[in-house]
Amino acid sequence: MNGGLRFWLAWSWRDLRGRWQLVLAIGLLLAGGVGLAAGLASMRDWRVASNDESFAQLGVHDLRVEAEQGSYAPTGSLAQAARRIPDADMIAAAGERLIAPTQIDASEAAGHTVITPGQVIGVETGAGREVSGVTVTGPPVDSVAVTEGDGLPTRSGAVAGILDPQYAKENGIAPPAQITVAGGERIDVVGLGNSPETFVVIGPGGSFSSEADYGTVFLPLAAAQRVAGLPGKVNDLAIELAPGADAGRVATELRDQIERDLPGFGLEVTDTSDIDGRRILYDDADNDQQLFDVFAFLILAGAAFGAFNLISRTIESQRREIGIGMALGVEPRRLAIRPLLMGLQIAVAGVVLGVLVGLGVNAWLRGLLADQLPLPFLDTDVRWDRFATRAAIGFAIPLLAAAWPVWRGLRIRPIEAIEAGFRSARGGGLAPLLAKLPTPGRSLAQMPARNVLRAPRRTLLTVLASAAVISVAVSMSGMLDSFRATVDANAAEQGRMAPDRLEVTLAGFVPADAPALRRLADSPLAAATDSRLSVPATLRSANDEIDVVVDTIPGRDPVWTPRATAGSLPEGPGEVLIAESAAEDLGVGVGDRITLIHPVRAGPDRFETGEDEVVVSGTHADPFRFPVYMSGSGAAAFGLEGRVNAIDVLPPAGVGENTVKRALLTHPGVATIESASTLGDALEEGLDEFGAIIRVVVGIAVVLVLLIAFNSTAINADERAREYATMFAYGLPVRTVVRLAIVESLLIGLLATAVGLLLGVLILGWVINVSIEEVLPELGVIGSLSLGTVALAALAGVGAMAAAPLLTIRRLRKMDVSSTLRVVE
Amino acid sequence: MAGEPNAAGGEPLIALRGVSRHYEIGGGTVKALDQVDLEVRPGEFVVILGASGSGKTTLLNVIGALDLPTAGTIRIGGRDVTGATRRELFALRRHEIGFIFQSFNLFPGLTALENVEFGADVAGRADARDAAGEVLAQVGLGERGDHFPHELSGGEQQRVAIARALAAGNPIVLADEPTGELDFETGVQILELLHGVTHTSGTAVLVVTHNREIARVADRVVELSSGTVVSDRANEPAALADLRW
Ligand SMILES: Nc1ncnc2c1ncn2[C@@H]1O[C@H](COP(=O)(O)OP(=O)(O)O)[C@@H](O)[C@H]1O
Ligand SMILES: [Mg+2]
Repeated sequence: MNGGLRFWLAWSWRDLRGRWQLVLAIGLLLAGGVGLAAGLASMRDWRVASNDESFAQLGVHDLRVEAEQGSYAPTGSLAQAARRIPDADMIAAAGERLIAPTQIDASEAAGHTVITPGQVIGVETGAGREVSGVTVTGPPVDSVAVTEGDGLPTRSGAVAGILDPQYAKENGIAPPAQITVAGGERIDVVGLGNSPETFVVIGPGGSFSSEADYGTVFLPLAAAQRVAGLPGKVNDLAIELAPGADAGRVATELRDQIERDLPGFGLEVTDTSDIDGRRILYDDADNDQQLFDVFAFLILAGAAFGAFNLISRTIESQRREIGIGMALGVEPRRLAIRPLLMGLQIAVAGVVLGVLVGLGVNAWLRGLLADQLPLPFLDTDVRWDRFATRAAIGFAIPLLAAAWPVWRGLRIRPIEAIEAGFRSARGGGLAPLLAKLPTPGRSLAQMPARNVLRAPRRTLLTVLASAAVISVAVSMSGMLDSFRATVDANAAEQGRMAPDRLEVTLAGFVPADAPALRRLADSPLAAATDSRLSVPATLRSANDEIDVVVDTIPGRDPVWTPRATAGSLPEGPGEVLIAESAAEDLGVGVGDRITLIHPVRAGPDRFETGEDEVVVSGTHADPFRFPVYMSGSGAAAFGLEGRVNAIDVLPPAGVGENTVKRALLTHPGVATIESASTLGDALEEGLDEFGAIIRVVVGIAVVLVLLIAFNSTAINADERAREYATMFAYGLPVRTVVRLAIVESLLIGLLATAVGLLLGVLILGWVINVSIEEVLPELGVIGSLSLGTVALAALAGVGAMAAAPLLTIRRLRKMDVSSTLRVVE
Repeated sequence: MAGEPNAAGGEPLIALRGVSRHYEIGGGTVKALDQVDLEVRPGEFVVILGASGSGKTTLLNVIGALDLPTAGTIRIGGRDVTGATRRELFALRRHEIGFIFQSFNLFPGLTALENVEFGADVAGRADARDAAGEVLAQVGLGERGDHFPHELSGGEQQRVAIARALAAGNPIVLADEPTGELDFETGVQILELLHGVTHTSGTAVLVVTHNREIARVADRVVELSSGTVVSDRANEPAALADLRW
């Protein structure tokens, strides 16, 4: 009996030697799917672990007292209020800060012109400590992680600070270096580092601000106060709670205490979950993983379909042998050995190669994360548990694919197996239906379509396999297309009237007729100016509540005004023009009423929160959701009649943007200067980074389609060997035979492309309307599919499929026709 | 009669001189064909007779340019085949030869009519569809044109295969044991068919068999043994009805 087993094993070994290329090719196909899935699966784990570690190491605040824009408190008063609350023992640590917007000129340090908006954060200093190569310095709550250079000087007055490493990297700044901030104050940059709230740059464009265009400088508190021109003032308190403390109670007590200590001081108490950057980091990790999972699943499904099809076809062709074996009385389990061993070989090849591919994908993603994740602490160890589940799938597929036809083969009577072997390879399928159609012309022309229809199940599996993979390529490229369309839409709106204009924000709300403004308007470096109010606010409807920025539309000769794509521009004081995507999210249309929650000026340095009912007069086409426009008369609602805090400046023809920026920076009262195109440029930059990931996945998808196409034609050529030999016996040239195979493959490719495109569009719709909507609610991404993407799908589907038969030319040329015909099945 | 040598004039349609086909296998040499001389003229119905392994299939294959001899020359229609290029060999098969195989080798994806049409198409006949219909009717399957091979019996499949070879309208038809898988009565019908075309279109038909009975219908019987021609004689064809399998 043992000798019997050895005989079957020896036979299988001979099978493998004859078929190792096929085993390897199918293994590689599986490996592509398993590897990509396994490699991509670790991303969330990595990012969540890195987030956790980074926030914990820096002692992220549990509560934060944030002053309204323009409100300040005397140094020490906020900390004192915290000490005075009834449950003061619930507060473990608290630190006051001054957070002030500024303008940074880092041209000298960068070696080229770098003038951008940014912020100065003044913090209490403390001794640093080392945590895995990173110096943690500054206050105990919301510490600063210094990744390069020195920590904050403990000598509180020194004007030496820490610069955001991403800003430094993007602009080519290395410490030690010197930068200048608004007001002309020079700062020594001694190190690079950031704190939990600045991991993600939230500049004027929200989370869209590019790292290169918004800089954060950490300074000792006193230095920051001097630099910002706010001596003795703070506007922020970061709090760490004691274990088991009731955050809600502490928040309420804080609010009450500060109201008692500093009557009329506008503030907001927020907690850890309100940190935008933190939310973005965790949400991104989740949502990106969701996307990756969908793509990985599709690619794995494509590889699985493909492998399943190829394996079951290969084994199907052994069914005659199984039948003969059964007729000779061989036990079924012996007969199952050969086909199952083939499945096992493919499984092993697929898993081993798959783990290698997965580790490769891991390494690539690890580099990408290290490059792009703004976190000081990363945890990107290989997650073997993720690998294990994917590998198990990759292992099971070939075994199932082999077991299925064997099981079918063993269940039927031997004679049927012998016949079915003959029939299944040649059977009618749907071909008889086609035969009834009147088909003109040459018999040859009909063969490809007949062959496609004659084995509908096989055709379907091949089509599904390729379509799944193509859909990934389509939806991923479609995402790029959509972002591109969105960027273009933004550029079309913002670049409509004066694309070169600079948007200047002022340090405060100044009277519209202030001499400083007039000087600015009369400056030779401003061809035209207009001024307006720009105020952060919130829009609320029954549906939703969104953060917006309300700008008033300048009166006469505006440099730039918005355009209503539906309805009209706002006129009275109670009208607003909102973004189409805002209208969609709020569930409102032109003429509807919504609530505007906004600051109201209650005195110098004092703002309170007010609520007004406003009417949507129209919508604009900027894909960003936040811009809201009111007429000039809207200023009254904010208690800011006759005051402005933003100016549009159009540089004169022939004068460079940087020249104007530099000149404006010296004007008193100017806080930040930005090109109108900054936001669009930041989007564009994000697009480029994102594009790299997409191109890699699309590349893998195209390779997989090629593998599916090639394997399936190779197996075809095997199955059809006798047909081809007969054609050659009739003198049909190889060229013609290959052409027939190409047409057949092309038909399958066309079907696969059509299904893939359809599936891809559906996925794209889901990505844009569900997934991206969650990650980037501030952006109304415009769904779009470019001709290039469709062409890519066609190239992958139709092109790869059509080209695959070319690879069989050599084998067909070398075919021994007489021997092939000699073997009588 | 059409089968007489003078009917075709001087040049034979098929001419083999000293043709050998040797296989080198594991140190030994298998002489599938050894020094074969053979001439066949248009309209001849030649039976190649021999035991299994005597080299019959090899002989048909080298005549049909599916295989090349290791020595000797083969001329088909006056042209030397042994020195021909690949392209010329393919053209030769298209325009001079029609093959019939023991196991039919019909295209499973094509109907009976389309299989026949294939033969006419490949040979470059402009009226392929009409010619196919005619030939199919001629082999008695005019009504079965829409059927796929798996819907036909073995004899019917072989008749379609014959129709496919005949539809090409080429001067030589090579049949390798065409009755081998068929019962007696069907075999007789097949032979009648093949015999018929030598008279109606002057086609030279070479039929391979290991069955001595079949040899009796031939104009001429060439006997092979161990790769050599051991006899080549004219034969007075027996009436098909007299055959016993
Ligand atoms: N590819 C091959 N390799 C080795 N020997 C072969 C090959 N093809 C045929 N032969 C041998 O050539 C001889 C003649 O074969 P064949 O022409 O098929 O005989 P027949 O058709 O008369 O039965 C046989 O002995 C066979 O074993
Ligand atoms: Mg033979």
